[in-house]
Amino acid sequence: MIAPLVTVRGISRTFGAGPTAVHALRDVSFDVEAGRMVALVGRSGSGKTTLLNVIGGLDRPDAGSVLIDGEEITGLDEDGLSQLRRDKVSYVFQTFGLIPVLSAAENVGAPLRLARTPAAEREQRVRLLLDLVGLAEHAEQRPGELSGGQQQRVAIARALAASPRLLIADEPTGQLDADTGRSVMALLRGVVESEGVTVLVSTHDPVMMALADRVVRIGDGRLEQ
Amino acid sequence: MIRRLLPAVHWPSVRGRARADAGPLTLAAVVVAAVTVLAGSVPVLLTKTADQAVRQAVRTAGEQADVQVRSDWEYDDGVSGGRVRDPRSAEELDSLRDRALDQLGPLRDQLAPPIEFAGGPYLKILGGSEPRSFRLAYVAGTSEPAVTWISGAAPRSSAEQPDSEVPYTGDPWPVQAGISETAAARLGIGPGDRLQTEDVDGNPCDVRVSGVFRPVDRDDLAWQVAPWLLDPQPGADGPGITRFGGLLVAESLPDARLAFDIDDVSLTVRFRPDASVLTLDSAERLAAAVLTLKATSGSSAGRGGAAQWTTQLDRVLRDVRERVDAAQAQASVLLSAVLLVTVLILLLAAQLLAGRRAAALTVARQRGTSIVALGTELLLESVVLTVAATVVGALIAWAVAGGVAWGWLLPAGVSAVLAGPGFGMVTAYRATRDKRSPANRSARRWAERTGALRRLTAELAVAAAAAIAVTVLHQRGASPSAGGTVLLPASAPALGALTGALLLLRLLPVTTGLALRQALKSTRPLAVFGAARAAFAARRVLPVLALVSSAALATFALTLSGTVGAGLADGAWRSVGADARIDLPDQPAMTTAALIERVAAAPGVRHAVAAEVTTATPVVVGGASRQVRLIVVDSAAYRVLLAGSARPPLPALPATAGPVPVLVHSSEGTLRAGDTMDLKAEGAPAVTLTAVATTDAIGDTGDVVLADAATLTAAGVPMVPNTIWVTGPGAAAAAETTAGANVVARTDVLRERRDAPLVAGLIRLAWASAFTLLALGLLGFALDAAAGAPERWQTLSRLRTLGLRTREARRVAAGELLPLALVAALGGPVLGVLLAVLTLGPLGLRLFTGQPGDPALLLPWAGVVVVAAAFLVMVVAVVRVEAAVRRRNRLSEVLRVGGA
Repeated sequence: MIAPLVTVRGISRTFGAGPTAVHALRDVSFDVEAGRMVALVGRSGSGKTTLLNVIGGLDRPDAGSVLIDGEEITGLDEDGLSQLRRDKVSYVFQTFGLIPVLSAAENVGAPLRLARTPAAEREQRVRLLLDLVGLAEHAEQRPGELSGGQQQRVAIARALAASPRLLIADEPTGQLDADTGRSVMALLRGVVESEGVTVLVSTHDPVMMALADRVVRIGDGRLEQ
Repeated sequence: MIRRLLPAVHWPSVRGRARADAGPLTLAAVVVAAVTVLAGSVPVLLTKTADQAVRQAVRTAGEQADVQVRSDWEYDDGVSGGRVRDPRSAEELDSLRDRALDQLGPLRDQLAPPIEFAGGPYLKILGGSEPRSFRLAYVAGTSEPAVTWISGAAPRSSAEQPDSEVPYTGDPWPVQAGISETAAARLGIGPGDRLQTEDVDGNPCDVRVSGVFRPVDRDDLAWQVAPWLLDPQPGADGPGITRFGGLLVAESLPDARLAFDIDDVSLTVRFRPDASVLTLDSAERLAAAVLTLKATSGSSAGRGGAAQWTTQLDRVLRDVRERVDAAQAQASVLLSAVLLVTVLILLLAAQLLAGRRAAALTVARQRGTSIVALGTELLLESVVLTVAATVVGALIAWAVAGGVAWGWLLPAGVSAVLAGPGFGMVTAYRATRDKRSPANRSARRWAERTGALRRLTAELAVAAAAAIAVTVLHQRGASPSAGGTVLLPASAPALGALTGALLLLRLLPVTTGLALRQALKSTRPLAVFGAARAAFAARRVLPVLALVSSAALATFALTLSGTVGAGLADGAWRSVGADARIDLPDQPAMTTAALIERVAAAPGVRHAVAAEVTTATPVVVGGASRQVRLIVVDSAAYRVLLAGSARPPLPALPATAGPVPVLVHSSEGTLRAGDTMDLKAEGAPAVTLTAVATTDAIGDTGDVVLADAATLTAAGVPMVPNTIWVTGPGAAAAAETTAGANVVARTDVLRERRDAPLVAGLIRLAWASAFTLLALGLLGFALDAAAGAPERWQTLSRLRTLGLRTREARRVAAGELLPLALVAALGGPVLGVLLAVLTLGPLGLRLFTGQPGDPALLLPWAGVVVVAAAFLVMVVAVVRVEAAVRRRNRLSEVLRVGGA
């Protein structure tokens, strides 16, 4: 039995109040074991992104608790959450979120700068990660000079830079064509193996679900497994 | 048919967009309204101020501004070889007046009622201890001025027959005249007395006092042409000579003609411009009409009704016109500056609006709305907005100035109408066009180079326009009377600011790129992110142009105002020569030394120095005679006086044998150090002077020669002091207490010049322009920040997902905004001062400051610091406001597509 990295217990999240209130999450509980890739699947509006936000500390639940690596995060203040994002949790966005005037290598090194990693160590880590995502040749290129798939690879490398325990990816292939999307998912699968990182990814694509160790289905704010 | 030609307008979309973007639209409307107030009212106010200046000049000029028409009496030779008395002499004056009124036509409405004047020659009053003169005069407005005969009676005819003939030879013909009670008391004569007088040739005259009168109304216009008929006038016929007057009436005027040669009694009608109704235009029309009459009437008056017109009104108006032209040039320069920045801000606002509407416009296009239809909808919106804002602004301008000038409103109006639709159509087109970036690298480069070349061409065109504008400004100024368009030279500072802003725009990405490279080498993560955001933001064109131009032109306006202020202070000092000046009378009550001692002992007086100042003293330089302002003063004492002031120090005058050493000043370079000149003083031998050095200008204009009193006295020209210069905070009070009415205080001169309509108006306009430009610049900064806010905070939110803390995110945001603020805060003022150095000279500021040359440029440090600080404060304010606004948004939104 592998110990869970993420423990979600009784999470509820409601937006608005009264008759127009939207219950995005209703008493959601599940665990994610360390070093696994879990696909979160559901229709649009089913609550996938809200759940990822709560788990990643970007949103606070109305009820319930989230433990990451044994640390209760729902009670953390802003600084505590910032520290959590620096040390343990990282994100990959559908729209990549790279800094346009920085090169691919500088984008990947951004979290290491925040962690004040020494320059030599940072550069070595950046080289390693760009090599990992197959972009060693494009280290000095800026995001505008890269294709969508390449940009997403840079984003994944950046997410891995600070060696997080948990990588959260919200529909990371949403803006990519099918082939590129599959290669990105394969990359994520690969980093689970090579870096030992736990990946929690939301997707609609059944092919991509096949790459996951486990699929968690969500509908109308409730787990459907 | 027309409906078919026009694109379909989807009114719900028009209303919806207007409602959704009510804030930016209102802001643009406020800008249009504010600029309408300024640009609509200033030309009207300037015209009114010019009219006010003309009235003041005409009032100050007094009789110099009068229009005179003169004629000669008809020959009065009789059949018996004598002269015939003409009882209708007064009617001849009436006839001349009526003819003159006919010739003036409608222009007579600009003139006060005419005054008829017939004056006798200079007569010397015999006896008495003081030199006195006497003149007979007949004056009449619509009728003779009313008087009360307090003794005696009005003058009567001296002849038994009204048209009797008088032989040329014989006793002087008697003439009766009334004298005022003041004159009677001074002369000690009364009715029936004969005044002992003789003409310039020593021939006796027979003037008999018929009565003593008192004027019923001393302010009657008729008395203005001969005030000495009421009160004896000292100095009117030469220094020390007091003029007395004898009043003639219609009955005694014929006798006055017989008493003197035919041409010794003048026949004149005077018209004084009516200052209360005069305007610059009407005054110029009047002067031109009189000059035409003068030209057509010949150089001398003729007999038989021929009249000669004369006036110096054109000369009076020439000075005013020159100052009005300069004021109009300066106003045009300031308005051009405000309009340029307004246009840039309106473009910036339109760009922001198009950015906000990008999604809606794209959807509209995707649903099949044509670009033309979208443009029409946006045009309708901007026309309604601009017209409404212009009407509001025009109403305010009307209330402020009593009129609206529409010409200057055109650039802002056109920009306000076209910018929104223009940016909107471009946004919609770009979002839905099929054109993609070429896949081929060389094709991409070709496209990039074509774009770069286009931009360079536009920049060079602006720079060329600026260079031409500055050249034209230097060659012929920006005065309307210089001919040609005023707009180009008046736009020189504005175009210069735009050119400078374009240069800074080129430098900014280089600078931020360098900063980013340096930051990447550092270990501070915030520096990297801040520099990265700054490098990203540095590519925006309009904000840099708008902010740098506004800061530069605000600084220019402040420098103009400061330079005029300092020039006025300097001019007042030069005119007075110290904090106060005592003009000594010919026969002072106490000696100069005693006066200086008393003044110097008064509290608040630092120095008091006596001098002899004579204007128009002839000296011979290089064989040519020149008129200079000769100042003879104790040079050591004067040096000490100047040392205690803000004036430049006075060079030392060496005590040498031979030519008298002097200091010279010449605004036109006619006198230089090393020149030798001969001074010929009255009753003294010629003295050779040698210029050993130059000195600062003393007095308003002209060449100056300054000599040491002791040295010049030793050379045979003793000093006769006529001036005392006094310095110190209590100088004016001490001088007034000691010397009474003959004191000129520097502060009074300064106040009078500063409060003059054109000067006061110019300074107010410069301040209003500086404030408006700065406000527009800050608004531009806010607009740019608002335009970049969504993208900025999305990126910052993503950085926060990497672990950036909230307060660190604020610093990174400040890092993005800082370069634009810095380039405006530092580059703008530097550019503004450079523009002032380049363009203030041809604007003729000396015409307002009363200095012999252009005033020295004064940099208003306090104002510049405010301009610079305002942009930096805006960075803090914008970051705080944005942080407060964004705090309401959850960070989780960044994980959603397009959210922030």
